[in-house]
Amino acid sequence: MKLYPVILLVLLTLPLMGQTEKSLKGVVKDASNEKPLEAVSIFCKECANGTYTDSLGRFEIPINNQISVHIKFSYVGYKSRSILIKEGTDNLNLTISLQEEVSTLKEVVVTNDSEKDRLLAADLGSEQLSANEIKELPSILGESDVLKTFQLKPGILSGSEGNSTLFIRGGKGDQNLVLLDGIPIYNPNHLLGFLSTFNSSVLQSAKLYKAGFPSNYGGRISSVIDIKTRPGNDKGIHASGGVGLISADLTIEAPLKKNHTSLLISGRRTHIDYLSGVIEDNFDIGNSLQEIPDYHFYDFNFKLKSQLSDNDRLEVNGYTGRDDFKTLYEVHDIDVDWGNSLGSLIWNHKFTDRLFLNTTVSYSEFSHNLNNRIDEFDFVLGSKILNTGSKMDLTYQPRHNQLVKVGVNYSMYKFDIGRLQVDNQGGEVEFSSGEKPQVQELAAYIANDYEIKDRFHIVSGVRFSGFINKTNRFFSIEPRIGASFVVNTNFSIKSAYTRMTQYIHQVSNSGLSLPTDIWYPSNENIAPQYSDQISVGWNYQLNDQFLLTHELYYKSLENQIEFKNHSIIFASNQLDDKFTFGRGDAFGTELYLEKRSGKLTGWIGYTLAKVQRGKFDGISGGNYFPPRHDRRHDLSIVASFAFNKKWSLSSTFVFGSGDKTWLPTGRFHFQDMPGKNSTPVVPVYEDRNSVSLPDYHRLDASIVRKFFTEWGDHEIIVGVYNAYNRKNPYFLYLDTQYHIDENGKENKELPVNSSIKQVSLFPILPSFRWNFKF
Amino acid sequence: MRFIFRIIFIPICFFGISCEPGDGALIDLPELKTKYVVESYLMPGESPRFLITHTDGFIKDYDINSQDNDISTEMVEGVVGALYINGESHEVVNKHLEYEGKFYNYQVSGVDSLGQNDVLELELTFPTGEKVYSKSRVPELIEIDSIAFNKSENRYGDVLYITFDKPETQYVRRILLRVRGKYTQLIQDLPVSGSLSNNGKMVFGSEMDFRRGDTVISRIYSINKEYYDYYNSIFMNLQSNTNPFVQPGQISGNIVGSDKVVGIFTAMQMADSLVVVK
Repeated sequence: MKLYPVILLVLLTLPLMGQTEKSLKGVVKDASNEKPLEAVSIFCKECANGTYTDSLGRFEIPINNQISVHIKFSYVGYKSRSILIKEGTDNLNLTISLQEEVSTLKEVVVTNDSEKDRLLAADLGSEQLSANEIKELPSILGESDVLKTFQLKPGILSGSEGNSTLFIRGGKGDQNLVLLDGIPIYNPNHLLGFLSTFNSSVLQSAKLYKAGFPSNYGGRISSVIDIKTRPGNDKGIHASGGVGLISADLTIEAPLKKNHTSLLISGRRTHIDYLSGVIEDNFDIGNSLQEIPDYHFYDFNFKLKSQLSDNDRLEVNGYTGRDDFKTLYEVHDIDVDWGNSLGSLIWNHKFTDRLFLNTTVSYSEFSHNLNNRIDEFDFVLGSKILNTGSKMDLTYQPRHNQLVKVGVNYSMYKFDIGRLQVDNQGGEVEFSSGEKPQVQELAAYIANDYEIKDRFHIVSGVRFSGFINKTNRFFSIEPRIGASFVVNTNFSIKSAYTRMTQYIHQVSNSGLSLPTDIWYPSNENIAPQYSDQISVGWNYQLNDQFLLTHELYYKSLENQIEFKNHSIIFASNQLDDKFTFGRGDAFGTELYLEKRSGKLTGWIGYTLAKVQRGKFDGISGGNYFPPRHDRRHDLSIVASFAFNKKWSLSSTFVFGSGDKTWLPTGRFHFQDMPGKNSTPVVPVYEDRNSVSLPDYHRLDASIVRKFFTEWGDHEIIVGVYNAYNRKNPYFLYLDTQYHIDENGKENKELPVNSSIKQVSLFPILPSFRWNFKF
Repeated sequence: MRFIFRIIFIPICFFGISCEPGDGALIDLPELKTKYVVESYLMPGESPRFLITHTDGFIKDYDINSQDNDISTEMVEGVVGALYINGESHEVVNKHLEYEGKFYNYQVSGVDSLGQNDVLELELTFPTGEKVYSKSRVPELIEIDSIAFNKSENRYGDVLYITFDKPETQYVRRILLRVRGKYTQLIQDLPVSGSLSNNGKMVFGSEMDFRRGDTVISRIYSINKEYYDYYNSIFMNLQSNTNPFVQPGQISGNIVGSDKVVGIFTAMQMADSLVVVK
């Protein structure tokens, strides 16, 4: 019954008729490489109309050709462009080229207009970043990172010091759908979460939805992070790259057939292992440490794009990345490796100017292996998730102010959970365990995007999803609706409601993003998670330079998963038994003031939020408790100052009130039953996560010097992370001193004192990076 | 080359230094709510006795002068109450006792022995006004079926067989001790649920821990579920101090009536065997 109003709304809005002016159609491309640009804002001042380009850069906007009109094209990271269409013009099919933005006064004037476009847009709870924004902000050791840049936006929290995991509006890290060119990626982290798997050199754009999720996205309950890589240049050979303190990257792009087919390949690798080799060779590191652990990661991106005909385009995307950590000792070796591999084939077909089809076939895999050797025995512990899928998305534009999308999606998952293999090198002892469930997920959706009189914009849709394993079938209906209303030229209000369902879950008890975290499917014991989110907000254009945004949200989270009290997680063969299920609530308010023009640009984002979880059997008597990422206040201040074309300075300041943790508050001697003469000291734990960590704050800064030469452009970025050397908490641990007996040995049953100590990870940390392109 | 080495090496050194743990805790622990802890294990053939203590703040320094298993500083006096055996009331008296190396501060007089399936109830009132209640039953004794020894070269391993003979789940705690000269060492201490048995049969085995002349003490305590859960919660909280993959939790006891009182009031039976390895 609840669904009927939504379906009715979708159906009712389909036949709505718009005005019957002439349409201006065309394509928007990058001026340097002719690649089409998606989501370019197009605005007609005289008609008070606006639209966006699709994934092929195409657009259509109604205009009145009885008068001369100005059309403005704006895109984040590119110079905006305005064109004049004179009255009576017959050629209403255009190709527009936009140039990449370089910080000058001129382009600043142009970006003023894009603020107005943002005011009119219907998006609620979304953030978009361009490659330039990601690259120019200060970062740990100079390694720019898209996920870390998102953490500077309101409502998006980091997990812990330096960690790329995102906690969005009360959700956990596994509740984010992370897509690379439309393919899900299951562990978007390198280096235990200090860097993401996304090489900034190949990124075109990144969009994050916190609310108002379009119907074509599903499978996670908290957010969607849609990251797109750029196609190669199909006009000439180009190269770009960089060398930093811990990694280097190189990207080469070239046309295989000019103006028709292009290829982009890019690789990135850390060189910490080479450096540790130099240290070992040149310094005496003492007998206690036999060898510095060997660590490296790499990733490799590949994109082939071919314009098969005027109506057909083919894309082949590939990504593979892996981390490898190794320590070798005389009798004990540890080798941990983990990584993702992705591939996709995408075919875009245009049936008519108003009907497009995108077909995608994809493959995505994440696995980790923990190899141990102790003397003659090998222990292999690992897990894997493998997803093969296909989807079709049909886009139809019946009229200039309406866009209808329908699509289907099918995925097959193969899990390999908690693999444990033990064998003797002589081959006599062999043992293996673990579960290998295979499941299928399917979905279909319909969405309708409609504008009425350029003031009222409504996006409605519904998604049907299902999940099938050997013994169970789960189905869900997910209504989505969002609307915006432009009150006047400076003020708009927006609202959205969405339901999301999640059928696969990642289990972790560390709070860190460890590769040993395991993906687990819904089954007879584990119901799918789902969330309902309501959000409202308003945008206010303060003046030509400042845009103020305010959003309020409430999200209910159902069928949430926690580990039971007193469970052992690692290498457990039956994880189902370790879980307990309950629900959660997240609510908060986000304020965002942004300045995108002038020599000084940046933003201030503030979030006031509360998250709680409860009704878990066996936890705190079913009462509500805060999860670790329940952060009440979160503030980010980001500022960039362009002195001129060559010099710019950027700085970020972040503050977060302390996350929660769980520590013992009391202790007692346990005397136990007769027959055993010991009295160990037992820690007493109160309710979960009742202790707040100290507040987190940090200031980073970087300065960029650009060089424009005949052979190409290059830049040097010098930065400092944690400028005032704040010792922020990474984690806390219990430190107990024991009584030393007459033989000099610790008596573990006679503690002298216990304390709680903090590990801080990054002190003041300088960075340096050199980037080039030609 | 030297320049490049410096710009790479210096930040890595910063990174290395930074990974050292910081100073003592900077955090504020929530205000400690002192709790009372009741420990009571009642066995047929023994008069009932109790230990009632209180908790301390986790990071409070220990009294080094009373480190020798002396928990007298934590004992709580002034508790009044009654033990009901099959409905018959017996007063709980505040009286100290040291028995087999254990300390007790409450006893029940006039009760010499308990019988199988006796129903036991406990009512206590604390000096600060808390009133609590608990109930237990003397479980049926699970006997040791047989004990054997494996031999490998000059070493021996203990193998013990038991049978669970009830349709409902039974619980036992297996304790294996080795007496060598004047030293007694705990070899195994396992609480086990009968649900893990194979058609009611269960086998416990040890490593080759024994040699000729050792005295092997094998004990099987028949316990109730409340004690099985309590012991596991204690054990896991102890483990969680050192193992990051163990979830801690609240102590699971069977004392009800006040969240200021935790602990266990349970009955059990013991079957044991003493063998000298020859």
